[in-house]
Order: sequence, then structure tokens, then C-alpha cells
Amino acid sequence: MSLPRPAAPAPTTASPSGPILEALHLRKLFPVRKVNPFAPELAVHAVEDTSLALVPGKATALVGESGSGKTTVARMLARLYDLTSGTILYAGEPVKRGQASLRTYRRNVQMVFQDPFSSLNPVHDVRYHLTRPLWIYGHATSTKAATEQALALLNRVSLTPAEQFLRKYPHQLSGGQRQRVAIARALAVRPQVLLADEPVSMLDVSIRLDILNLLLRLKDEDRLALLYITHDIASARYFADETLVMYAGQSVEGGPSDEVIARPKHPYTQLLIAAAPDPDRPATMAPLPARGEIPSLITPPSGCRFHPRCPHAMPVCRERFPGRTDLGDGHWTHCFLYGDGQNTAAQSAQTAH
Amino acid sequence: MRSTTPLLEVKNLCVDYFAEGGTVHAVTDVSFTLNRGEILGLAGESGCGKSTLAYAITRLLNPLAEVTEGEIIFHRPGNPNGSVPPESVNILALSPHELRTFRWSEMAIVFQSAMNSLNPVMSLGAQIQDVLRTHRPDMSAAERDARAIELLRLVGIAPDRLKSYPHELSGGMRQRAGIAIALALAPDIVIMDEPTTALDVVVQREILTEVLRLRDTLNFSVIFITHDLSLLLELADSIAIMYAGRIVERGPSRALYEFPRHPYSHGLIHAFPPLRGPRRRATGIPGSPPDLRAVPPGCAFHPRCPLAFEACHTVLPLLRPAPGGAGIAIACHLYDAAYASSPPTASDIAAGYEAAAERIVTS
Repeated sequence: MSLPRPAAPAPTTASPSGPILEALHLRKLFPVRKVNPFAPELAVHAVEDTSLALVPGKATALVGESGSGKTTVARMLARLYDLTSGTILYAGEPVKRGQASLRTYRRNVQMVFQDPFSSLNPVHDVRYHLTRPLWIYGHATSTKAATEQALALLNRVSLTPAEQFLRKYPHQLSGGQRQRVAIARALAVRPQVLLADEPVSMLDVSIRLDILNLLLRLKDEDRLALLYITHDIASARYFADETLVMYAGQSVEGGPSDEVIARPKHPYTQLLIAAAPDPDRPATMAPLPARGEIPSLITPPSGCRFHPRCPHAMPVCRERFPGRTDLGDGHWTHCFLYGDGQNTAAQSAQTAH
Repeated sequence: MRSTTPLLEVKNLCVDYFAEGGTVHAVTDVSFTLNRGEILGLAGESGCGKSTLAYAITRLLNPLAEVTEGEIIFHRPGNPNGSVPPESVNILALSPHELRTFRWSEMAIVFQSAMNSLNPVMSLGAQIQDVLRTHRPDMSAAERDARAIELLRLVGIAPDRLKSYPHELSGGMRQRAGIAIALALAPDIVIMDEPTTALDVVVQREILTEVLRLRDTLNFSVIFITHDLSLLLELADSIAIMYAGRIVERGPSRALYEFPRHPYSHGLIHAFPPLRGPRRRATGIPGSPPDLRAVPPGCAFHPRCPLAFEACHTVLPLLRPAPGGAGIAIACHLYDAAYASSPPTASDIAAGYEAAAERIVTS
């Protein structure tokens, strides 16, 4: 690993305002292992037809409960999972399969995981975690340069004095400090896109905002395209310019965060906001519009998967999933209450950005 | 529903863990009163001693932990017709036999992880019956059956689930079942230790609505432990905020929300971005919670406090009524006339946090 590597070619950049990473109609099935060889093939339908676009300098939030498929989307974008179907475009180019393209891809797209207690290697110190990507991606060609860059990275994530942190092992750090190291490690690659999968949900409440503010600052400094995955819709409003809501593997609503959260259109988004803790809520503990939990994704409900819980469900909701209806100002939803959005898959992809 | 009859009084409670690396003072000098029908919220970060406090009250502490000081007085209400007079008992002095009759019928607990607190090899009905058989030996099998069905109905589970095993239930249903089992003997106090932390927001809201409804119909008191202060503000009648084993602020939840006086309470409430209102930059609390083996001298919060001054480093602030009243008690020198000429306003504390955040970014 100490072999000097040639410097990376400059990453291809898309037009300044266009999306750098685009996902079109992502779909993911996880096969279920069978005991009986004659039983029908079963699969977990984790993600169905989800499209999203990440723009440099902007944060996009992906909101959903556990089992909504939000982490699967992030892992597909990080290419930790293969796609069942769908396309990922990086800087306008479709991403090819294979190891060579994976290396180039990971040079530009990095991920921060939920649990900083398991995403760092306990037998290595912070220096190792930060210098390894520097060597691998050819950003450092000497030990001195690697150390200097590692120190700069620690300073950028506000771990000071950096010299002391370089020698520490994960068990000597608090949860917040570990997550800062994990962020620094992702930045060491100098990515264009950062995928953050619930980066603060395992941390103490008092330090969550500091980590979110750090990510926002880094996003502005590096013009990172940021994907923020969360189950906390209030933090999505605080953090992200755009919000996308998922339910049981289907994306149900999206648009500018303020718009989606102040005027939720899809019944599920309305439910999610009604359920979120909110001390300023006018009438305390109003009854929830719907009950229940996310259904099994091995045999998901037909049509719109929210229909068994939806207070407005109609016969058509059982038959098929509604198309995308644009509500203006970039706000869209998949719900028959607002129209069928007869535009088919190809058309909705064009309006995605 | 809510009354001013005290049901439980905790006085100067201290709990230590005798660990290898030194004594951990998990709970220090904690006092509070729980009234009949009241929901008291205990909030704080992980490691602030809130769960230890709950286990001390229920006498469920492991041998490594020991109550070193204080008393927990339970005011047994007695019978309304006067056949059993009211009396006060010290929970810490109960004999094993008394403890057996006290637990469950007068105080019950709902644990954080319903999956681990239910027996995986017993059906739900059998687990409820088990409690009734042990504590109400005079009940007939038919009565026990009826009571089990009644309990499941109470928490919104269909009675045909009596035969289900825990793994056949969803997370939310398991937690409801945990609540049903806790309520089996109609206890006066239910302690809930982070009962909704592992659940999704929609299910969490359902459980909380259920708790409120049950409290209103059955009139028990609740000690609700959580790290999610925004949730407590909606649920609890009063809130105690703990930091490093001590209560730093205590008061009615509305008053606490409108003006969190302790800088830590302020930081904790503002650590949750609001769902409505203008979007503004918010700051967390700098630093991280202290190691309870080496709690900083003076006020334990001073290394993280943006408004700390000399006295905070050396003199321990005690919980006393806050100036201006509103029923709030606070442990902070900023509200002590001996140290600070005038108490800070909410905007002073906010400005302190802003300045602290700036310092961190520029350093």
C-alpha cells in the first residue's frame, strides 16, 4: 500500500447547475433463501422504481421509516449493492459494471455509515483510517504528505489538536468524534458526492446538530452533492434543500423541503408529519389519520403499498401504483388524489431534474 | 386526573457502581415528587443516570450498583372506604417478601426492548396469566382468561393474539403487550424506560397516545424516561432534566419549554430542529457528556457551558426554586443572587451558544 500511485485524472464534471449523480428507476429485489426447492421464488421487494438526482452544493434528504428502502437506495448509489434494474448516471454518463469503473466511481462517490462504532476498524488508529484512502487514490505519494493531509482533514472536521487525534484508536474516541473521523475518511478521497446514511441517529442528542452543521459546512466548502438519509423529518427540513419521502420501497412524494413539510400532499407524508414529536403542535395528541406499520415486502400490497393504511384509499389504489403528478415548484407526488400523472416512466424521468 | 396528592417521593437518592476503574456515581442527590395521575418525564443523554434511577426506584439494580444514600417513599393510598388506612413505606427498606407484593401490583416497569423483556417461548396469553396466577392466586382460570383479554383490548391488540408468540408480533405490538403486562395488576406507578426508542415515529405516536388514554382512564402515575425531549414536551406534565447523575432543572413541561433556564436544558431543547416556523441555524452543545468516574468539579456541565464563570468550576450548584417562579427548580449559579446580579434571559443563553459555535468553527 506504500507504492506511490499516479495522480488521479481530474474528475469529469457536469454542467454547474445540473445533477452530478442521477438514479433512474432504481429497483432492488433481495432473493429469499428457500428451504423447499419446489416452492415458488420469493424476494423482498426492497425498492421499486425510485429516481433521484443529486446536485453539487445541495443536500437532498431521503426520509422514511425502517423498511422503507432508504438505506437500500443509498447502498445502491454507493454500489455496495448491484441494481436489479435501473440506471445510475454519474456526470451524465451511465455507470458501467465492473471493477475498473468501480474504482473511478468510488473516487467520486463516498459514503458515511450510520454506526460509527462499527464503521471504523478497532485495531487501527486514526492515522491509518485517514491515510489509507490517500494512498489508494493517489492523493499522497510520501508519508510526509499523507500525514500533512491527514492533519488537514482532522482540522476540517474540527478534531483539534489534530496531532493527538492521529494516534488515537476508535475505542478512545466518543461517538461524535468517531463519526467525525468517518466523515474525514470519506473526504480524504476528495469525492464529489457524499452519501450519509443516518449519520447522527446513533449519537447523543446534544451533539447531533454539530455533526449536521459540520456536514453542511463541508458541503458548502467543497460543493459536495449530499444525500442525507433519515427517519427524522424535522432534521430533513433543517438540513436539506430537497426532500424525498419513501414508503415500503416506493417513493411517494418529493420536492423542496419547506414545501413538502409545510404542505404535505401524500397521505403518508401527512401521517409522518402528524406523528413527529412537535411541542408547538396546536392541539396536543390529535388522533393519527392512519394506524399500523410498514407491510411485509415479500408479499407487498398491490398497487400503492400505502393503500391498506390510507384513509383515502380508492379501488384504483389497489390495482396499480399512480404515476407522478407535478404540483408546481418542483413538488411532486405519486397519489391518485392529485391525479394519475399519466406520464409514463420515460416522461417522469425527464421531469426528474 | 392530575392531583397534588404525592404518590412517590424520592429524597436525596445516590447510586454508585463499584466498577473496576473506580466508583461511578451514576445518580447523585436526586429528589423529586410524583403525584397521583402525573406523567413525569426524565430526560437526559445516554449515561446521565436516568435508567439507573428507574432501576433504583424499582429495586432492580444489579449487585455491582448500590444505593448509598437517600430514601424512596411510596405513599400507599389505602382503601377508599377506610378499611385499609393510607400508609407510607420506604421502598428501599422493603423485605424480599414485601417487595414481591409491592412490585407489579403497586409499581410496574416497561422496558426499552420489548423483544428482550418478553419470554420468547411463552405465548402472550401465558405470560399475562403467569403474572395473575402468581400475584392473584384466588383468581379462577376463567377470570384470568377474561382479564388477559381485557388487558389486550385495553392496549389495542386483538384478543385472538393471546395465542401468539412474541416473534409473531410486530415491534409496536410487542411494546403494547409489554404495557399490557405491566398494567395487569392495575399498578399505581408505571415506569417506562425508553419504551418507544426502538420504534418508528408513527408507532411511537400510537403508543404515546395509548399511554395518555390509559392514564386518563386508569389514573396511574408514569415516570417516562427518554432522551427525546421534544417527545416529552408533548407527553409529560412535568419534566426533570438530568446531567451527569444530577437533576439540573425540574418543572412543568410547558414552563420548561417556553423558557428553559438551565443552559443545558436550553441546549437540549434546541438540539431538535423544529418542524415549523422559520428555518434558522441551530447549534448543538459543544463537547460530549463526562465520564461518570471523573465528573468535573463544581457544576458538571461547566466544561460545555457557554455561560460558565469562575464559581461554576469550583462550587456545586444545588437545586433550588428559580427566581420568577413558574414552579421551576434549577441548579445553576446564573440564577443565584450570590453569584450573578441578574439571571440571564433566553436570548442571553442563545447568544452564548452562538458565540461558542463560532469559536469552534474558527479554531
